[in-house]
Amino acid sequence: MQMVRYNPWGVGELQNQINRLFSDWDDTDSSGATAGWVPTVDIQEFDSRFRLYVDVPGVNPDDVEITLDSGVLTISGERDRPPVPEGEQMVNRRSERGHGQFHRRFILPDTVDADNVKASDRNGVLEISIPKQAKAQPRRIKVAA
Amino acid sequence: MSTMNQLRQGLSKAWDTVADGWRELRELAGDALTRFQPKTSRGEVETAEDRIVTRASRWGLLAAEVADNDDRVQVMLEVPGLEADDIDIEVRDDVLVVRGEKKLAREETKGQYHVMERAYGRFERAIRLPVPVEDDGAKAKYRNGVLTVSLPKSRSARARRISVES
Repeated sequence: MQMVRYNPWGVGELQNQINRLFSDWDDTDSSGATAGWVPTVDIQEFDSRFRLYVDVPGVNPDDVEITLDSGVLTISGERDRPPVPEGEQMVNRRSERGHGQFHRRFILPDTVDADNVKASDRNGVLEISIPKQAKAQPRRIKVAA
Repeated sequence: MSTMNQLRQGLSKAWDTVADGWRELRELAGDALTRFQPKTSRGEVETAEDRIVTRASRWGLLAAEVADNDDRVQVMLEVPGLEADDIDIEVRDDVLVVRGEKKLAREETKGQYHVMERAYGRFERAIRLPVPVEDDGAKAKYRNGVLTVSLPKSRSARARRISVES
C-alpha cells in the first residue's frame, strides 16, 4: 500500500499565503506607523486607466479623502466607533476591529490624468478610477501599403 | 552568575514576553484570520475571473466585535464587498456562524493586476457568543460593509435585578 502524507491544503501553499499576507506590509511602508488599521487594496491597470478597490468597512464615505499629487495617490480617512444609543450601555466581549486613522500611498506613473479621478463607495468598498492621459494610451499604428 | 546562565535567563525572559504578546494577540484577534475558498469549476472551462480569484490571497481578516447589555448580544462583522443576499447567518447553540461569498464583480477582467491583497471566494466565520441566545427576534443588517447582528439573550441568561426588601 502506498503511503500518502496528510497534506490539508498543501503546506507549501499555506506558507506562501502567509508570507504573502505579511510581506505586503513589510516592503511597502505605505500605511504609516501612526495608522490605526490598514485597508486591503487591489490595483488593476487597463489600457486607458487604473482602477483601485479598497476595503473600508464601516467607514463613512464622507470621511475618506483621496488626493493625487505629482503621481502619488493618497487615500486616507478615519473610522469611528459606532455611536452608542442613549441609555444603552454595552459591554465589550470581543474586539478585533481597528479604529481611528488609516492611510495608504501609491506611486502611479505620471501619465495619469489627475483632473479626472472618480471615486465611489459600495458596501464598504471604495472604487477609484484614474484615467491615463490620452497621449499615454497605447495606439495601434497601421502600416500603409 | 556565569555569562551562560545570564544569557539563558535573558533569552527565556525574552521568549516569555513574545509568548505573552502572541497569546494576547491571539485571544484578542486571532480568530479574525479567515480562509477564503475560491470556487473552482473543476473540469469545466476556466473563466478569466476564475484565474484571477485563484491568484488572489486565500486569507482575509474578517474582524468581529461582540458586545452585550442586559437584554441582548450584538455582533458586528466586517465583510466588505458583499451583497446582503450573499450572507447566510445561523445560530448553533452559542455560536454564531456567518457564511458568504465574496465575488469578483468586475465588468472587465482583461486588465493587469499590480497589487492584489483582497481575498475572494467562500468563507465561514464562527463567533462564540458570551451567553445563550433566543432564536426568535434576531435581527441583522448590512451597511457600509459591516454586518450587525442583534440577538436577544435567552430568558435564563438575562440579568435580573432583585430588589432587597427592608
